[in-house]
Amino acid sequence: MTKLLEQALRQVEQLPDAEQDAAAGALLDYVKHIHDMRLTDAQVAEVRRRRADPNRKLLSHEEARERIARLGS
Amino acid sequence: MKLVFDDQAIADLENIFNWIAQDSPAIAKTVVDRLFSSTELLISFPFMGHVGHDPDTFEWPVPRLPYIVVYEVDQAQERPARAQLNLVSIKQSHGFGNSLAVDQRPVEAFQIADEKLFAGFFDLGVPARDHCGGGIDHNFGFGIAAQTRDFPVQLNTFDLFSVRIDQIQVRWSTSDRRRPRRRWRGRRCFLRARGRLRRRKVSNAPARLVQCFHAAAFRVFGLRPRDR
Repeated sequence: MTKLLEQALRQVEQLPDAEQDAAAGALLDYVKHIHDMRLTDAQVAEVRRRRADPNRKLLSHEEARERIARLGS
Repeated sequence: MKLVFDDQAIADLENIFNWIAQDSPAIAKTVVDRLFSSTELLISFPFMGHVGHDPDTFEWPVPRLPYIVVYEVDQAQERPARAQLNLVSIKQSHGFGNSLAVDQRPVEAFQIADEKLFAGFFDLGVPARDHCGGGIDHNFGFGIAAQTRDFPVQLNTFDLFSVRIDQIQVRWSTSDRRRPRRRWRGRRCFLRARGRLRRRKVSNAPARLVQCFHAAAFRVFGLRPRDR
């Protein structure tokens, strides 16, 4: 078991039973679909293109949060 | 850790919102907020994703949502200018049943201190490949972690082994990001040891070895159960 998983389980242990079940469900769901969740070749190519873009624009956490907060308003 | 976003990644989130909002703006908002808050977990757990398809990236499948967050960790930002390599992990995808994870002891550059190693019966040779900081090939993934840890190797469910890596071939360069990553400007160093690891003396070592680290060949000369 990795240290990260240990840490996650320690946090989950502190939750109420219902929340623990929800967390377990999320974990099982992840394990079940782990092989389905792959980037397609086109998506990998898009990631490469974005990372190689010399004009790549980066936003701070706050800027990103503000843009997300504006959605639907 | 500081989190920054590619503008296009935020545009992706906006597109996801707009698509779902055609049916339900409320659900669209919930999904996007969930995606964004999942991403914020990276502040505390930057290595929670698995090694990505594109070198130096990680992929984090958001639980219960059909989306994958692709991210990169700028390890240079996490270290002071004269930081030294602390930890290297090796994960073997197949070949021995369970994955093999090796965490090196604190190392100064590529020195591995006083770990024990035994009869050699397998060879963890890895084809040379250019990548910085972390990557993967068909059999192994390499990562440079931020913390010093113990040196466990787990080959099966029941036993931990202590390990010393007998031979390491390392390429490195200074971490000047303006240089193309494929141009390795460093030197090679081979470490060999019987009794203990020795480091070949290298003069004029670059100040920042960490970022562009590449291990081309790891050879483990054997394992034994670790004292517990």
